[in-house]
Amino acid sequence: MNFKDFLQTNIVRLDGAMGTVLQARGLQTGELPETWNLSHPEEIYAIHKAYFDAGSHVVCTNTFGANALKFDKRTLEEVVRAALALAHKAKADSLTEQEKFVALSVGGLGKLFKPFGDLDFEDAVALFAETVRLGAKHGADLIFIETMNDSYEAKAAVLAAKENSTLPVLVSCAYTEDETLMTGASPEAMVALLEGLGADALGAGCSLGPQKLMPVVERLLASASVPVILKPNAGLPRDEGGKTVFDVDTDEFSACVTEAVKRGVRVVGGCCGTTPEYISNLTQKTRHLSPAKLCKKEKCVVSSYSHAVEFGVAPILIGERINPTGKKRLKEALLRGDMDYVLAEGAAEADRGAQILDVNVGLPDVNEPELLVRAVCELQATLSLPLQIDTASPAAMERALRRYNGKALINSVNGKEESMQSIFPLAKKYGGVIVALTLDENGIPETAEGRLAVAERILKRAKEYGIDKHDLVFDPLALTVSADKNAANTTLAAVKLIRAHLGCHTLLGVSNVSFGLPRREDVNAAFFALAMENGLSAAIMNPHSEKMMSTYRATLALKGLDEGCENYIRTAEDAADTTEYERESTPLSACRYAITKGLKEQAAEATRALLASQAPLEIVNTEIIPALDLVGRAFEEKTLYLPGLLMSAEAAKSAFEVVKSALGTAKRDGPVFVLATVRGDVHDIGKNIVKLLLENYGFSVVDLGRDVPPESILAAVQKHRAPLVGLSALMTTTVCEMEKTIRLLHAEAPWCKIIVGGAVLTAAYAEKIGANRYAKDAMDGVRAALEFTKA
Amino acid sequence: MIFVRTYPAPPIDEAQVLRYARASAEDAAVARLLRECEKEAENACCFRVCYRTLDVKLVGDTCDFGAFCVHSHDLAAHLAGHEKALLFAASIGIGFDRLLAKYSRLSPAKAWLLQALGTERAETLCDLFCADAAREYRLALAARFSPGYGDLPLATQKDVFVALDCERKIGLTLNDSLVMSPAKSVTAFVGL
Repeated sequence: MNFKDFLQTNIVRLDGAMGTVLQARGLQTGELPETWNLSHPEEIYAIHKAYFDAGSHVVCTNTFGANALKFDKRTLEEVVRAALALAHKAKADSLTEQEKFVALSVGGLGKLFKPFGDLDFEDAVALFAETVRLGAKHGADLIFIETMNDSYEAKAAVLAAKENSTLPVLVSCAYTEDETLMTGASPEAMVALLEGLGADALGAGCSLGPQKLMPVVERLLASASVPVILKPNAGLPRDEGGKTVFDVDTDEFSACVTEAVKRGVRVVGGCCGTTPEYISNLTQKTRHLSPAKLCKKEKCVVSSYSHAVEFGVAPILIGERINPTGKKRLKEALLRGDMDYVLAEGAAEADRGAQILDVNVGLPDVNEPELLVRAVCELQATLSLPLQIDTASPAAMERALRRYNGKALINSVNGKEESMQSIFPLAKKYGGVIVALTLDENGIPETAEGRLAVAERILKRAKEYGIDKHDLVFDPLALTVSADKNAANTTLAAVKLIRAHLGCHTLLGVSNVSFGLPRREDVNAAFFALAMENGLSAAIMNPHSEKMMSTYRATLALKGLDEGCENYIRTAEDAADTTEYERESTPLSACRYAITKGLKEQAAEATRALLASQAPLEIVNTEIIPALDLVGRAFEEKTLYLPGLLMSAEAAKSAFEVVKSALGTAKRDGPVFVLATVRGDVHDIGKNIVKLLLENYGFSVVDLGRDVPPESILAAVQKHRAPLVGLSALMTTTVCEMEKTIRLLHAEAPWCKIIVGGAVLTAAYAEKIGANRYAKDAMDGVRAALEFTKA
Repeated sequence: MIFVRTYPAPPIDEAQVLRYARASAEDAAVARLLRECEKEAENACCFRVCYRTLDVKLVGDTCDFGAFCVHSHDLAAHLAGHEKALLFAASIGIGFDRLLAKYSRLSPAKAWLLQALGTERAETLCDLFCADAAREYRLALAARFSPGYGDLPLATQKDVFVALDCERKIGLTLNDSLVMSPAKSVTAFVGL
């Protein structure tokens, strides 16, 4: 029987531990366990055979750490080949009656992914791919991706498995006592991600004993449609007279795991501390149980690296602000590649209560796939909300979906054959909930029934691609009510019909409805309330619209979706609580006072007030710059400390923002300053402080980020013909990269002056490596930049 | 054998945070911002330690721990007279890195304070763990000694990470340039 079929109809028993058994047999600290496939084959064979004899259906090869980071190419193949041969020999030799399979064990790579670690996502996929190809070549029956503690790494591993073999893929993750992975994913988020990627079974393994993993198991069972795995440790280890003992014995372990089977777990085994005795005991207890029936959970769920968001519980708010259409500042930021602006938009939407963020970077003359991937990667690294990837370009969609750390909302597909042919295969491969617009080759149907008919056709076609109806959300399209008095009625009727006839969720971009009308927010908010009453599941909207937000919160309270009206009351109270900061008596103007005291909102407010009587640039010269000079001097005279300086700089920045919107542009035409943390170094707080101050003093900063190779810095300098470059390094180990960069810049861009800074540098050392100037702190960096540009 | 310990959030030593941040305790605006940082950090931190004991053999400047050897005059001097050493890795987790990454982009002032707060959190975690260890081993523990101190090469981290299986035990990894991720983490030797 092949494993996939076996899995559908049986309780599958895996093996127990390999690592701790090897340690008991003499494996030394620092010795790679996989080398024993070659040096102690008899031991590995004996362990596999013992597990088969104990009743395991599946044994996992001794290849947990077999990857190209730890082994050279030739040794890697030797290790994997030997591992599979030993497991297969044990399978052939074991006389017990159960069905037997050999799983290629694939463990974590031991590194954290960028931007927090230094492993690139695609490099990780390539590393996993190499092991998978060898496993498939040498006869694995299935792939078991084990004890992942990062959702992103799990995704890389599953993609590699799917792209390089046709074998079934099982995935277990290591959950901590807070019921999340170490990188933050909840069980529901992992279910969404892994089912989206097409894993055949998923669950929890290692990390804790069976009892402590039960809460996680319950949550997995409640949300997973595929079989759930439980492969726990034998509890926690303790030292008993120099011997390691685990605190859950065979009886307790198997009783507990058996209980999990009764509750619905379908794949069981043991991890650290378990032995063939544990499995044998488990076999006795579970062999006569019948497997729980698998049931489809029929949930429509998207996820991020941390959590899942389910459609159909309460209406979901999708923030629409990261979309350059009609937003000049965002457009400029995207063209400059200024991701800070994008992040700030996203963070503000999240603070306002958005639950999903729309990301659209479609502009003429940009490399959209590249820009979209960058935006997605930056947003998902810092914000925890799931993303809606919004692009008309299938190429951009594929690249963004591939890199997305979760199950995305895909915007969008429509009833045109070409659209479905390009989007459905991507959704099938990478997972995702697809937003389907109810239009086709004939345009948008005029009636609700017409839109329902398009939805039905899309649903049917999706099914042919193996896409479940719960992974589709329909957008019956809000049209302008000023052009057609029945536009809103038709859309609302379609929302209702789709929900009733297809059992699918709906979503609307609500603001189209008010196009061409005055006081659009009034119309939008009323339409939003009506749509929710008709069963709308999500809205793409502007979370900064107070009217929309209050309508939303009030509707939730009225519909019994806000327990005790708690959320409604809390928000109302927060709004009432506007803390007044006491203003000391001061000769300074309100604007200068706010900046020197580091009060962001007040600085912006004061600047707005000044705009009534002064020209924007006049405010810069008579208010903002003098205030900055004041704090700059105080800092240099050591009467103000760095945190105070930074808060003032941020307050000045918020004042500048007001000026910029008044000018209608983000541009201040100061000299270009290219800024980067050198390759190998990931510290960027100092660099960002310098950036903030430079911007305040009018420089056009091109921020290349951290871990930047010399060639990229040179390319940016040449592109902008930048007169100034700032390089930062915090580690002694990365100063050599700084030196390389300086050498390259002097050779290829001799016009530019290089200012360096960072904890490990001194003036003398800076001179030695060829920098034009050493800056002892951020303010000094600004002074240096001003000196160079004056000269 | 490697053991893992998880702690609930210890109280914050605000004075220490302000010292790390080189901030004045009197600045009300800074104090307000720090309060904000503390609130956000509350859900972003976890407090995990993995550790093991090692036999120590000292021959000149060579410290032989069985599993690996280190050449360092300063570490040898630090461990002189001890037959065993405690080796541990402590980390406050990647959630804090995400918070730092967010604010280093959105608010350098907040990032600066968070940076100081993270350092305090990691140090407090180490203190907590060492106090526990001192109780359990019934010893007054000597100071911690970390790779990078004195002449103990930073490259020792590679051996430390293998010996403690940091990635699987507490989610702590080592980059090629020997930077630890999550950033707010400590590894150290303590003589027993």
